[in-house]
Amino acid sequence: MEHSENIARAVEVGWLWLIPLFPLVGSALNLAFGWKLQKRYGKRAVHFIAVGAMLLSCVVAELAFWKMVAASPADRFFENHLWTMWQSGSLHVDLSFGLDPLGMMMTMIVTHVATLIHIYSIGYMADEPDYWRFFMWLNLFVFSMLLLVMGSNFLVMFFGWEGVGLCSYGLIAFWYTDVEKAKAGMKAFVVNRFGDFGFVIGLFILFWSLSGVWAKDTNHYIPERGLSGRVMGTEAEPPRVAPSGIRLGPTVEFRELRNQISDESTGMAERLKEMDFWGFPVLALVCILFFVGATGKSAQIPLYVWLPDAMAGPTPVSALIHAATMVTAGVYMVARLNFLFALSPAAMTVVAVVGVLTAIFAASIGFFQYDIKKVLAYSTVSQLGFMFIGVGVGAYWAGVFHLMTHAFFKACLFLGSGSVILACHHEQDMRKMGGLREYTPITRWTYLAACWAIAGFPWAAGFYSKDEILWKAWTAEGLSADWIGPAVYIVGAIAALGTSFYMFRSYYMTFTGAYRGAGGHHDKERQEDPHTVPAHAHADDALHAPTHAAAAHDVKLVPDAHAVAHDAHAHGGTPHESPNSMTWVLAILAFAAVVAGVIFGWPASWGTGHEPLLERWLAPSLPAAEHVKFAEPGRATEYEFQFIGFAIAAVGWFAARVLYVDAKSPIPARLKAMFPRVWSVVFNKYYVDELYDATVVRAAIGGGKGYVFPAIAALAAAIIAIATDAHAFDVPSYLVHGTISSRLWLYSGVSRLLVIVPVTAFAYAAAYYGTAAACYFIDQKGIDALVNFMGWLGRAVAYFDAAIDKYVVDGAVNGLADLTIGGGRALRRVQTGHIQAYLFGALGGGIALVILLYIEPNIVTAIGQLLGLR
Amino acid sequence: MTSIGLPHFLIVGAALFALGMVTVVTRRNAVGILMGVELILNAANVNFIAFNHYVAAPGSFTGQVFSIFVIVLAAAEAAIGLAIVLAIYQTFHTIDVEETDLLRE
Amino acid sequence: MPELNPKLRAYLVRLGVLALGLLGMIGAAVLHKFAHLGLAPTLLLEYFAVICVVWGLNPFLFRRLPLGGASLLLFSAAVFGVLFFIAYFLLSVAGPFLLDSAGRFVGLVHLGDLVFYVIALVAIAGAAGTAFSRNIIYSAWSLLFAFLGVAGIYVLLGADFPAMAQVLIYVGGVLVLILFAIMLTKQIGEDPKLTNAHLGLPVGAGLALVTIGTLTYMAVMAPWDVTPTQSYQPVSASLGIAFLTDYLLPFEVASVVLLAALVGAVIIARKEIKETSDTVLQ
Repeated sequence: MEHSENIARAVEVGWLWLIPLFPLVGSALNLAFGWKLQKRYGKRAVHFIAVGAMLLSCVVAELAFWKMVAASPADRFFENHLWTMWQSGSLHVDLSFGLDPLGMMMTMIVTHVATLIHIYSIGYMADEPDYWRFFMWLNLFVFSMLLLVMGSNFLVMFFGWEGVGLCSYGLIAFWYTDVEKAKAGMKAFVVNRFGDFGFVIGLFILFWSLSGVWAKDTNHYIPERGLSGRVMGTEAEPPRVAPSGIRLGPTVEFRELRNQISDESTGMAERLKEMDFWGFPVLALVCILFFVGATGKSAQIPLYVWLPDAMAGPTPVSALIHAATMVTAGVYMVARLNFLFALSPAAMTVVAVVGVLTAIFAASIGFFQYDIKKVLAYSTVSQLGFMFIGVGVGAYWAGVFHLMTHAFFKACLFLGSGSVILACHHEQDMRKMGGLREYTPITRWTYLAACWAIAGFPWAAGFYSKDEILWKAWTAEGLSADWIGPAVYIVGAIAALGTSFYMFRSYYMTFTGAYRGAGGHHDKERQEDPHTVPAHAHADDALHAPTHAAAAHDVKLVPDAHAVAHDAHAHGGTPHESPNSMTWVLAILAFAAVVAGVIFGWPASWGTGHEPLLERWLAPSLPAAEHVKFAEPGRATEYEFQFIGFAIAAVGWFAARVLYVDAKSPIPARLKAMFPRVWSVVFNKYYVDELYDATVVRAAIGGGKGYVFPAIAALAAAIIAIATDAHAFDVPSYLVHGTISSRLWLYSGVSRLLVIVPVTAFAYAAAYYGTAAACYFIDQKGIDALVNFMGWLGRAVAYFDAAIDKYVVDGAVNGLADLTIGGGRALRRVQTGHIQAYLFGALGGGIALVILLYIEPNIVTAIGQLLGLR
Repeated sequence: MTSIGLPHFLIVGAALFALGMVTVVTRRNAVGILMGVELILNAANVNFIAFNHYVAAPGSFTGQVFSIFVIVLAAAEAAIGLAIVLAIYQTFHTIDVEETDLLRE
Repeated sequence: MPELNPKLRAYLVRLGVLALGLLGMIGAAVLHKFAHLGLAPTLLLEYFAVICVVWGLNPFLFRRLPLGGASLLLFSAAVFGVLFFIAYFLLSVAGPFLLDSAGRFVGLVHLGDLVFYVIALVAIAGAAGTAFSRNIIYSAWSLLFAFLGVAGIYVLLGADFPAMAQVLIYVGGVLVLILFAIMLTKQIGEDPKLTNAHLGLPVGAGLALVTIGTLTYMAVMAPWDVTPTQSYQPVSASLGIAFLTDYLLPFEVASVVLLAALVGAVIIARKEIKETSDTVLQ
């Protein structure tokens, strides 16, 4: 490909803003009126608004998609510039949406899967009194996710980034009256915050690093000495333009950044590769910081701990947010910034290694979990690890492909688990399930199809994506060291084995054998014997009417058919299938999970002669793809690895079948008895949560008094120092000379490790401790005092207001009345009936007149002058 | 001390008048009120006689005529007043004028 | 001599001592003045006299003081001291001044003026008694003096006939009528304190003061057209002639008024009595 094709030129499409607008409007309507609408018109009104908004958004996304398909590959960069939000110096932030092929794919996934899950929620959340709030949050989440995906610059994307974090909090803690669920929501948000911090710092450093002085003739960057004030100013600087027409200088727009870096005539990429930030290579630092944000959002080590706890939210939430969309934001971001990551082997290595470690770590935990949703949660973490392997080794399209297929089959799995949970009357423990294949056939077949997909059997989607990822990992050459790629492959293969195993374990435990359930919970309000009351006793409306409305995503929703699904609380001891609104969605997703792989990912090695459809589609968005180097061992090796992949899946399936089918085998119990401590460590998630609580959480909440954190911080610093081949902190040089960079080696070799690493570790620990203590102090004394003060102020103002109302206002009104009455009463006393008094008055008046008129008439004139007369 | 002149008599009349007024206005006994009225009339008479003596032409006695008539009418009025007092006594069984406050609100 | 009541005898003893003490006080002063008794013995004698006075007066005070022995001596000393100071003040300071001004005054006082003042005082005191006395009978009695005073004023002003008419009609007629009314309204025999209570006396007094002030001011400040000389002539005959010539109409009208008053009074007073008299007749 030539250089000119690396430059992305935007096509202005004026109506892209409608795609996120509809969910936003739907959310706002439900927020403002949802409660009233629900009370007056029932739940139909609420989901009519929500699903209607989603459908409208789908329609517009479809229009954009077909428009993009119709355009030529070079023109597939749509932009919709709305207005300028903020401009200060070199910083120019617009509210603008952009759709390139990658974003378009994500938008389609988000809108369509979200619509399906909205429809599913109609059935699942039917008995929920806070129905409107749920749909409000869901719509708001879709809006934020669309901002994230469609944002054409870092800041709009970050707005969506934070927004999905917020909505994730709101939806996990949906049943916030339960303290544990509320805590889970807070945990999700706070852990995300840790990641966001890294993201923001990375963004700042990136923005700074793009500034520079320009050589007049060549328009090349000149390395900048020291931090200048060039990026901070009050007036907009005139944009510099490279010879190829690209706008240069610090920017937050993706397209401009991509152009600057991908186009070699600007020299940006070369300069960035050599630039240092306090001794660290800028690119590695920036990419790793962005990846820290991705670990938070996409639940990688070390910030994955929120995702299993996030299962406290309703199942549709788990399906939408924690399988299909939000957690994929990290992968999307890395894919979006592929041109940056590709420039830094260190960053790529970090991404790939962390991904594979997460994959195997989570898979191992998933072996022994009993809660079906927890199994799926760890499965999600593990699959996300796979995605990061993909984007880490440079197979960007493969990682994104796995993202897409994962969206389908994981959503199907989650929704299927929701159906199973409902069928078993809110029972989530797999040990109490079993034999559901007779009662819930549709759920069973869709679940099986999704397991087939995730395990990586051929002709289901997961095979193509996972196989591609592992193959590219094995052949990767762009990492820091050559052995890393194959190592990643091996560990990844083991993780894939584990994936197949635990997924089929969950399938066999849930659907085969005899039903071990106790009939679920009684309806607590009614206390009825479940065996005597017929199953559909307390249905509110007629339902189970078969509908064909939800057959495809383009059909408008018929609200009445899915008005109320009552099965959630049906009495009776036997499980049964879910209503159509749920089963249709399961079927659609399972279908997509199977065929998506075939359509989008048919490998080139299987006879087509050209790259898979998705790879071609995403090519314009991934300019780094052609620069990343892979080994080409040949077709035969590729077939071998595909076969190995298939074998891994089969072995896992077989092991699961042997151990768990019909729950007949005694082996699992025996193994557990033989290795009780191993089992207990893995079952308790390697005690990671306890570790975090003892170090990080205790330090922050307790005002900086954690007792293990210095050691952990030191360990983390050591790992980072070694992995990134970091230089020492060059602070003294900067302070003295005002310069950054210059690799000033204080020590060399082993002595460097022995001295610098502990010093760095101590600096990290001290910084963390100090920050924690300071934040705690500010929170306790400042913020709490402020909040309490505002509360007190409010009360004081209210008291004052009440006093004014009671005494001044009421006092005035009452006083006026009292004055009138009192005056009347007083004046009435003149009427004593006592003639002498009247006489007295007359005489007194007469004397007074005499005095005033004849004796001292000056008094009268004086009074008159006083009153202003004459 | 100047020699006795018109102002002295007028002052005496004024004092009688004021005291009679006090009696009328403050007494609770109806007969006491009538006594006050007599005092007032006497004060007026004093004025008449004094002016007749000091201001009128020597030999004219118009003021004295007036005072005679005042005395006559004062007597008639005293009779009527006392009859009324008796009537009040018959009605209210008391001559405390504080009890006769039917004109009260 | 009948045996006296011990209480009465004690009182008489006290009275005797009181009289003795008073005599002693006066005697001491006289002795000092005319027999040239020394100052110290005089004072001592006075002191003893005061003791006697105090001791004798004690039971008759409205509150009997517990004086005996030393307290009596001390209290008498205090009283003596007060009296001494009063006497000293009067004799040495106020006395000469008063005598001096009285001397100046006396030269100025005309007998006629004095007579006027006395009569005026009688009239005004009578009026004041009418106004302010608590007993209705005392009021009527004071009214008598007021009428007499006014009659005296008429005489001073040379109006002999009005003076006579005043006495005859007012005192002889109106006052008697008032007394009869008082009797008929049966206020006699009841608690005298309540028979003539006042209502709102301070305010009334205030009004009276204001009135007096105003009228005095007018009387003094107004430029009366006073005739230079005043004549004192008997007026009865001319008055009689005037009534039947110049003032005939008012005279007749006055007689008609009297008739009306006569009839009216009878009717007003009689109506109510009629009912009771009916019952009496039956």
